[in-house]
Amino acid sequence: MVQLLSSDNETFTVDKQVAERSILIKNMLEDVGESDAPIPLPNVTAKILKKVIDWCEHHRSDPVSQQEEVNDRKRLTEIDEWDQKFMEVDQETLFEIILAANYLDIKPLLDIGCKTVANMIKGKSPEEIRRTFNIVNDFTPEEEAQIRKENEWAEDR
Amino acid sequence: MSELEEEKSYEVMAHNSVSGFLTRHVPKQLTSPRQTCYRHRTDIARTLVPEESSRVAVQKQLENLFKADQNAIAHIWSMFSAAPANQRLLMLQGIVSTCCMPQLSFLASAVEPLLKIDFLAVLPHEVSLKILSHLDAKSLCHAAQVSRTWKHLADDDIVWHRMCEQHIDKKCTKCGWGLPLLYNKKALRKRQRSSDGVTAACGTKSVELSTGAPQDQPSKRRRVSQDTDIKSAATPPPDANRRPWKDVYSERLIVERNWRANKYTVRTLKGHKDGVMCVQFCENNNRLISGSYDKTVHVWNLETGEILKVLTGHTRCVRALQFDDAKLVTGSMDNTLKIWNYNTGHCIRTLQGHTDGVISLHFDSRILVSGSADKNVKVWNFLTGECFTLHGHTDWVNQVKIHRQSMVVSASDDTTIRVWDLNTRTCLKVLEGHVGQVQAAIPSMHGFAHRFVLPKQKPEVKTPEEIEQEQLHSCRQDQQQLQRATSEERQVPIQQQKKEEDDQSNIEVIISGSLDNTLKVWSMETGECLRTLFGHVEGVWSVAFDKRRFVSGSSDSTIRVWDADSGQALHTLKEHDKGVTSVSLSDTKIISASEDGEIRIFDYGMQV
Repeated sequence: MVQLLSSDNETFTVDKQVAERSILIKNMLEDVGESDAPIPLPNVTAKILKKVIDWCEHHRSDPVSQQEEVNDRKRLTEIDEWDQKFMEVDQETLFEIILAANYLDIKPLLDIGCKTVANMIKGKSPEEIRRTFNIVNDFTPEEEAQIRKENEWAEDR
Repeated sequence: MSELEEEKSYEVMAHNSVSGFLTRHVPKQLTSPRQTCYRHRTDIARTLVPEESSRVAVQKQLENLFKADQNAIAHIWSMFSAAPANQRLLMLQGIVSTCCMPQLSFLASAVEPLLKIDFLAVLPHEVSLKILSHLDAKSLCHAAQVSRTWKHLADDDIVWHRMCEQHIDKKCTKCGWGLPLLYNKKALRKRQRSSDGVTAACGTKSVELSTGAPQDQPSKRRRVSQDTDIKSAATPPPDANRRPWKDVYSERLIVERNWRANKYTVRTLKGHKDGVMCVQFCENNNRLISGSYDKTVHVWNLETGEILKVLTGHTRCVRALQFDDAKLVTGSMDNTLKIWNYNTGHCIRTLQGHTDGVISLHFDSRILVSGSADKNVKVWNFLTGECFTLHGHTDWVNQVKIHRQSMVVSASDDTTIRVWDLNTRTCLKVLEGHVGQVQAAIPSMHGFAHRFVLPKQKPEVKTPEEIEQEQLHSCRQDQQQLQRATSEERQVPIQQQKKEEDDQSNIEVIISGSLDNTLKVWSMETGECLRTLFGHVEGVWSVAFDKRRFVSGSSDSTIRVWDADSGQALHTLKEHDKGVTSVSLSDTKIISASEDGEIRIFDYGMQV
């Protein structure tokens, strides 16, 4: 068992196998060796760490190697059903999960997070994308017209 | 206590409690800042411009109130902002519980956009690029129009390089689209000039892909740097030397769309006085060469259509030709092959040996193979001058193709296709199935992926007769194919369809065309006929293909374009007045020769 300490000082106890889904933690454990001291994760809050641990528990026995390649070959929409449910969260949580997966070096989780955001962008017009992410259009009207023209070739596929 | 005093003391009390609250909490905040959330991280605060303006608007509204009210409201705000997180929640709970419905509605609509996050702007750069790498071209182009930050990311060269890698000269596993390679003409010409340029037969099939289309980069670099030299190198940004991958992608997508929509421009080359029997072109060196019943060979400027040379010497119809950077070889019904310097127009050598007309030829850097009306295939060695004969066909040999250096595939009027081993000089396989003369048979190039695989055959007990009678068997297969071709696709079980989708096969195939009006796809390994393509209403004279499409020319005077992946008929080009004798294909063009004496150039490239 491994103890993990969130940024807001909450301690989580998880199986070593589960914790090692995180390459960061795996490397730490290899460097430090067995120890009872909790591993501090100053970039992850308890709320997000709990989510991440849930994910790692569910995927504890996934093959580790070549995971990225396998995912790459799958179609964009092909996010595993459980993962899809897992990612049905508000934007803040999704954002924090992606940051945590990046920090903890959990490639498959990062990948699912990125795909989820990509699916939010896919098939939308520029204005719909702005609305989805509350983005201000900072182009001048002239620039906007110019850029629309530059990108016209991709339309009517 | 008078009312006034009461009010005063209340004010003092209020003042005291406010200042007390602030002195209790503010220093704590300064020494240990609150867990920074998305909205209050200093590194991303600059992206949250709209909040600044809304804050100003609120301030203005406040200033319209009475002084005392202003103070009271300001107190509430300052206390809230000083409060620790748990107390803030408590305050909000209290406020929400006293809210009327309209105020709750206001809260809901005010909060909704603020809960959204501009992911690409605030995530680490490499994570943002990872997100974008999951998008298709159209979505990427929409993303580029969202904001300055998004444009910067969505136009990133890494993202588009990946798009190019996924699509150019192959089929994307995600979307099923493949894009043409489109080498750069200028670059190749330069390369030719710098090297002696004698190697490698030209034509599209000799252009190999590394990753994307990087072979045009070095000379691009050279060209642009010359340009900047002229402009006295005022603003030479280091990256401007290379063409953005987005441009590379868009150019190829437009060409592929033209192919799919059958959008082309057509030009006609007139000059031959009788039917044109063979044609080959090379975009690298801008040449087109044709042979005709009028006994001549014409060398054309591909771009301008100008006749550069007329080669005379053959005494009968010129039926076959091939050229590379240095030489041209022609085969004629006068029983000879001639080797020419097509730039000077001189005939270098005449090869005699066949006892009847030469119908077909193919050469690589070492050997020349010829097929003849004398039913034989001859193999000539350029270096030693040695020649040997492959016997087997019982009628005219209409096409010969060298395959993987040590094999030859030949098509004959005897309705068979033969595969020969050049080392042992024996026939390896006889492909039977066409019921008419076979005019064309071409082995697939390296990396040709397709879905021409037979559905798993049910284990059935065959009678010895069935096994013996191969011809009958292949006939029966034809019927199956015909049924499959004519029946609706929904008859194929969905599961199997899905499986087929996933299983692109790389097994080598031969694609053939016959006077029985069909094209056939054969397994090189087993010699089985995998698919029969129906469509032409008269005999097929000529076939050409690349990784994306087959093109066939027929005596029904049409050219048909087929999907190389599924074998589906895509387009029919009706431009010639008489039979189409020869077709040639590149990434942007189909060039056809016809019995009407004309050559037509169908250009699917970017219309300038």
